[in-house]
Parts: sequence; C-alpha cells; structure tokens
Amino acid sequence: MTQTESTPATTSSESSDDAILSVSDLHVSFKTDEGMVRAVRGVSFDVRAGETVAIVGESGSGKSVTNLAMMGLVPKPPGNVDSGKAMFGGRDLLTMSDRNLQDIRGRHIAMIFQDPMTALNPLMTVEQQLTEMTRLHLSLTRQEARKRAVEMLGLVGITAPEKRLRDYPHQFSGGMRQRVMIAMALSCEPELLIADEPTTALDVTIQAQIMELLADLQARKGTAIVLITHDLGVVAGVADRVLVMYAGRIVERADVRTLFANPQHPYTIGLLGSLPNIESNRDEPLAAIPGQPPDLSQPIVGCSFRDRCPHRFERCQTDDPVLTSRGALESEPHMAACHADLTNADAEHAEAQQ
Amino acid sequence: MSETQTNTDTPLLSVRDLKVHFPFRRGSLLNPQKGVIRAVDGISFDIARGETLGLVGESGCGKSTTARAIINLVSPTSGDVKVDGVSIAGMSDAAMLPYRRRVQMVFQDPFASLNPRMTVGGIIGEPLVVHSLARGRDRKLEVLRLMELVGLNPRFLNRYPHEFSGGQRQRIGIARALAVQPDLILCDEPVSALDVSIQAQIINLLMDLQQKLGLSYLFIAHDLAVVRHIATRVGVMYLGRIAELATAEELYAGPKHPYTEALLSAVPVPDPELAAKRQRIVLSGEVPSPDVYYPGCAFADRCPVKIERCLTDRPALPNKKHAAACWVREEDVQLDQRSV
Ligand SMILES: Nc1ncnc2c1ncn2[C@@H]1O[C@H](COP(=O)(O)OP(=O)(O)OP(=O)(O)O)[C@@H](O)[C@H]1O
Ligand SMILES: Nc1ncnc2c1ncn2[C@@H]1O[C@H](COP(=O)(O)OP(=O)(O)OP(=O)(O)O)[C@@H](O)[C@H]1O
Ligand code: SF4
Ligand SMILES: [Mg+2]
Ligand SMILES: [Mg+2]
Repeated sequence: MTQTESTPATTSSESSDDAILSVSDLHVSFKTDEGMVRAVRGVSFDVRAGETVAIVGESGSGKSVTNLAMMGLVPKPPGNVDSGKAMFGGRDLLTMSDRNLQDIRGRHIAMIFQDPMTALNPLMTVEQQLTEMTRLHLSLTRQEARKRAVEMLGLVGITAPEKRLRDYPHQFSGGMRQRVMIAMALSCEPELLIADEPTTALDVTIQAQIMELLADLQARKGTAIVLITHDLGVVAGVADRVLVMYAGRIVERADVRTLFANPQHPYTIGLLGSLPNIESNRDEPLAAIPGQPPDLSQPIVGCSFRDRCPHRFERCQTDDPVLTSRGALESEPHMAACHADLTNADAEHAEAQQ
Repeated sequence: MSETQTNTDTPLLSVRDLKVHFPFRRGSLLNPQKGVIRAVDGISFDIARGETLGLVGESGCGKSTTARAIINLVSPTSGDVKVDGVSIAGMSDAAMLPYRRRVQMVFQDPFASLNPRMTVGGIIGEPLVVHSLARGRDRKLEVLRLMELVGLNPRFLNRYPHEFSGGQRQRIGIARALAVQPDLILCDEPVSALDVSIQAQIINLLMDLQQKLGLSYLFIAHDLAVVRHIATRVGVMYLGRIAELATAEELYAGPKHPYTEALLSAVPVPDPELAAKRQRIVLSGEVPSPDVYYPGCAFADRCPVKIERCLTDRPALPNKKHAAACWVREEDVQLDQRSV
C-alpha cells in the first residue's frame, strides 16, 4: 500500500549507522555550450559493509558521474560538484584534499571504470600497472608484487599470466583489458569497491567467475560493493539492494526480490519489460520505452519521466515527485518517486507481459 | 534490396580458413622468448544478404580480431576474405575504398574508438565526406537524422565524445556506421553499454533496417539472449576457431558442443528467485593459451565428455547446417588436416 507522507530524498530514513559509505543529496553539473547540464540532481544512498548495492538505469542518467564524483574524479571544469556529502569512515570524500583522497583511492576504495583506458596507461606494461598499486599501498617488494600480479591475473581468468605480464594493454582483447582493471582494483582488497559496468566485455562463463571472485572477497573481507550494470541478470544474481536511476535521480529503490517482483516506478516497469528473453521470438520487435529522456540542460518541471509515462496524469506535469514509501520489506524500505499508485496495477502489468 | 547486388548466389561475405597470428618477443635479454599468439586460427563462414550471423565465445577467443581482419585493420596471416566474390586481402587502399563504404564496423570500445578532437557532428559526418556522399546543409541534416535515429538529442551536435556517457558514445559509433548505407555492418558488442530499453530500441532499429534495405550483420556479443533475438545463425568460437555453427533456433534448443552447453548454462537469469536455484556447468581444468599449439581439441582439458582421441587429434568443423567440431557429440567429424 502506498503511504502518502513523503520522505524528502535528502534526509536520512536511509542513513543507517552501520553504513560504510553514506551519500546524501549529491548534485553534479557540467558546463556545456547548450548550458548547465545537471547530470546528478540530488542522489542519496547508503552502502553497508558486506553488501552489494546495484545501480541500474537509463544510459546517461548519471550513474557513472555519481560514482566519479565520490572518487573526486569529475573533471573540473567543465564539471562541478555543486553540493552534497559522501561520508566514508567518518570523513567527507567530497571535501577531502586531493592527497588524502589519493591515499584512500586504491587502498580503501577501489574503482573499476566503465572506460578501461581511464585506468590503464597505454604506455605501461600490464605488470607495471598491476604492481604499482600493491607496492605503494601494501609496501610489497618488486618480487612480491610480481607474484601478486601473476596470482591476480590468474584469478580473473587470464591464461598463462606470467607470459602476458609484459604485454601492453593494446595487445589484450577488450575483455582481457577489463579483467586487468578488475585485478588492479581487487589486488589491495579494498573495503569498498565501485564497479562501473565491470563485465560488459566478458562472456557469461568468465563473468560468473568474476562474480564469484567478488563474492569471495566480500565474504572474507566484508567488502561493500556498488555495482553499476545494465545486465539485469547479474543484478538478479548478486545484488542485495537495487537503486534505479533516471535523469540524474534515484526514482526507485528496493531489495532485489521486491524490485523484480513488484516494481513501482513506471520507468522500472518499462525497463524490466524491455528485457530480451532467451526464448524470445525473432519476428516480434522487442518492447522498448518509447521517447527520449529529458534534456538535462533545460529546467525540468513536474516528473522527469512524464513524457514517456503510460500512467501520467495532470499532477505529473507540474509537481516533482519525491521518493515515497511503497511498503518496507525486511530491512530495506521500498521507495518510488511517482505520483501514481501502481500497487494495484500489478495484475494489469502481469497480463501485459503475457 | 541494394543495387550492388550483382550475383545472388555468391554470399555477401565469405571468410575462408582465416588465420591471424600475432608474433611476439618477450622475456629478458638473457631469456628471450619468441612465439605467436594464434588469435584467429583457421575459421570459415559465409554471411548472405539480409542475414545476421551472431558470433559468441570466451573473452579473448578472437572475435574482434576476426572482424578487424575482415576490414583489413589487421592483415590476415593466411586465408581469404571475399566481399561479393572479390578477394580483398592485400588490396591497395584506393581499391579498398568502395569496400570500406560497403562494410562498416561498430567498434567494441566506445571510449577509445571515437576521435576525441572531433565533435559528434564531425564524427558521424566524416564517412559522408570520405565517400563524397553529402555536403554542406545536406550533410548536417543527414547527421541530425542519424542522431535522432539512434536516440541522441540532436542538440548535442557540437559536443565532444568525452561529454557523453558510455552508452551515448556507443550510439555515436552506430550512427557513424549507418551513415554511408553499408551492405554489411560488423557490430562488435554494439549494445553492451546500453540499458535494456535503449538496447531494445537499437536492436529493433537494426532489424528494421535489415528488413527495409537488406542489410547484413556480423553481430558479436556476450549477451546470449540478445544474440538469440537478432541472429539468424550463430557461430560459437573457442580459442581462435569455430566450435559450433548452427541456426539460432537449433543452437539454443540443442547445443552440440560441450563448450556451447557450458556457455548457455551460465547465462544469468533476470529473476532473483530463479537465479538462486540455477545450476551452471562449472568448467575446471587448464584454460588454454593462444600462444600454445594444441594438437588435439583446444577445449579438451576442460571438457566434461572428452575421450582419449580429443587430446591428440583436432576435429574439423563439418560442412553442414548444424555443425560442431567435436569427436563425441558430432557424427561425421574429420581430422583437421590443414592446421599445423
Ligand atoms: N564532461 C561532460 N560534459 C558534459 N556532459 C557530461 C559530461 N560527462 C557526462 N555528461 C553528461 O552527464 C550525464 C550523465 O552521464 P553518466 O556518464 O553518469 O551516465 P551513465 O548513467 O553512466 O550512462 P551509461 O549507462 O550510458 O554509462 C549524461 O547525460 C552525459 O551526457
Ligand atoms: N595487436 C595485438 N597484439 C598481440 N596480441 C593481440 C593483439 N590483438 C589481439 N591480440 C590477442 O589475440 C587474442 C584475441 O583477441 P580478440 O580481441 O580478438 O578477442 P575477443 O574474442 O574479441 O575478446 P573479448 O570478448 O574480450 O573482446 C587475445 O589473446 C589477444 O590478447
Ligand atoms: S509521476 Fe506521473 S509521469 Fe512520473 S512516473 Fe509517475 S505517473 Fe508517470
Ligand atoms: Mg556510465
Ligand atoms: Mg573483442
């Protein structure tokens, strides 16, 4: 049942004490020729030790920028973190000095980038890149670091790792580069791992192997994982909780089972409805959400999804919906930012799926 | 149907016994090592007009290298690539030009494959300039049309690649490939950075263009549900070779090769209840290395159904509709004579 009292996205129904990362009301914008692009417009979430929080959502909705901002990696200019907090170990990552942030990056927080070449230097061998971190952060000797590099490459499924240490990134396939980056991120066993599309270039067997590797680290070290992915199969398999982003905001959040079984935001419903099925018929076009996301350089009035939404009504044109509770399940509240009450639309949705 | 279609019997693309080996020199001065990486090690397939061949397989098995060899971005070590019956291996750049228009590629890495110093308008319009297809206002209108087609806001015409998200960049690459109205597009993981809704839009677009214009695709992807939907036939690669080739229906309904079986069993299911119950075939054993020559089947060490022969004799891919290179699962397999 929908409760109508609204929970402002900025406060802390979610800020639990055991969170190792707590992001609140993050705003990030970019200066462009077309004006200020508001890429992230008030994002708040928590991540607890040992859990996996998945972030899914529309291409361009601000998933990468949210996480780059926490790591102090939004290019400034043209980018700017306008406001917000990202508390990690009692300190705010957003106001920390570059030096302190550098100490934390790699050692305590590691990131797997969506673009492998952000992390990999084309002029350095795979060995140099893999050993740099462990020598710096774990004070390993050259020998030890090399051994660790071989071990890590083996764990991410690179065959004959000793032989391939001397290769340069361009000598690796797309998926191999991605795995080198994963090996780099994991080699210092961070407390928080931010993985931005870590398996896009991996086949399903290696993907499963990598996911097991992450689960193992999580079990041993209590590592918290923020997993950004378009692969809803991976989300279903490994996430504890899911955040759905649209146009720079979180529009729905729930534990993973609730999200798949009972999505409440029309965007989430459309997204789940667009999934190709392994048994799907070639003759029928795939369902897709019609229309385009709003231009983030223009002010958004009302709901950002309204032009594409099958459930919209007058209020959606004028009022900006905030996250409201849709009933809590277990520990995780289920929230959606939508004026419509779709709790009873379930049956219709199920029918439409048939 | 395109006018260039001269002879309907010859396939649009024909790849025969293609090999791409990368020689390497590693090791130290005292302990030098030389060898070759057998990225692509003898593969053959055809793509007919209006057909989509899906290409799947383990990361590093040679899919991208195959596509790059087809457009001559890397030179094949041996073998032949024919477009409309004409061999393009060793062709001069000038002679290649018309083929470059007819065969386009969408590159795997949307970050590295776009020129960072060009605006989106420039990137998408460049092939129109190179092939003298449109100029001035016409070109701009065409670029705007293409942007709209792939779901990019035309207002972003003058932005640079780094101002876009991963999935937005991927769509710039697709728009660029479509610009010159090619006959064949080699799509290397073209939708991997897109959310499923935009992915559905792009796949519907590609299939729609295929219907209207008779386009053909080589479609490399790791998402087996996407391949199932878009491909008419599917090739499964393993360590530089094709392990199984079949129509999409047959392959998914009854995979023959044990590697295909393992691959299909590992497809993640978008349902947390089912995911928890899933059993996947976990492969154990040594993962083969592309710089080693294996006399037998490259999959043998990890194969759950191998027999003795698999370790010593290499099975050839039979020439039939649903073919697997496997001594156990395929009936009339021959010894692969060509490979050394
Ligand atoms: N340097 C920049 N200048 C201007 N706009 C930018 C810049 N970087 C990102 N953006 C914009 O910010 C928005 C959010 O981008 P972001 O990369 O976070 O998307 P995303 O959710 O990660 O998408 P994807 O799933 O496609 O990777 C996009 O609309 C993008 O165009
Ligand atoms: N320029 C190169 N020099 C040396 N080796 C290379 C080069 N390009 C590719 N390789 C090697 O060839 C093999 C096949 O690479 P390729 O990029 O074709 O794989 P892929 O099937 O596309 O993999 P992925 O799914 O990870 O993208 C890999 O072992 C790779 O390291
Ligand atoms: S608020 Fe209105 S327009 Fe927005 S998602 Fe809900 S029903 Fe649709
Ligand atoms: Mg991104
Ligand atoms: Mg590749």
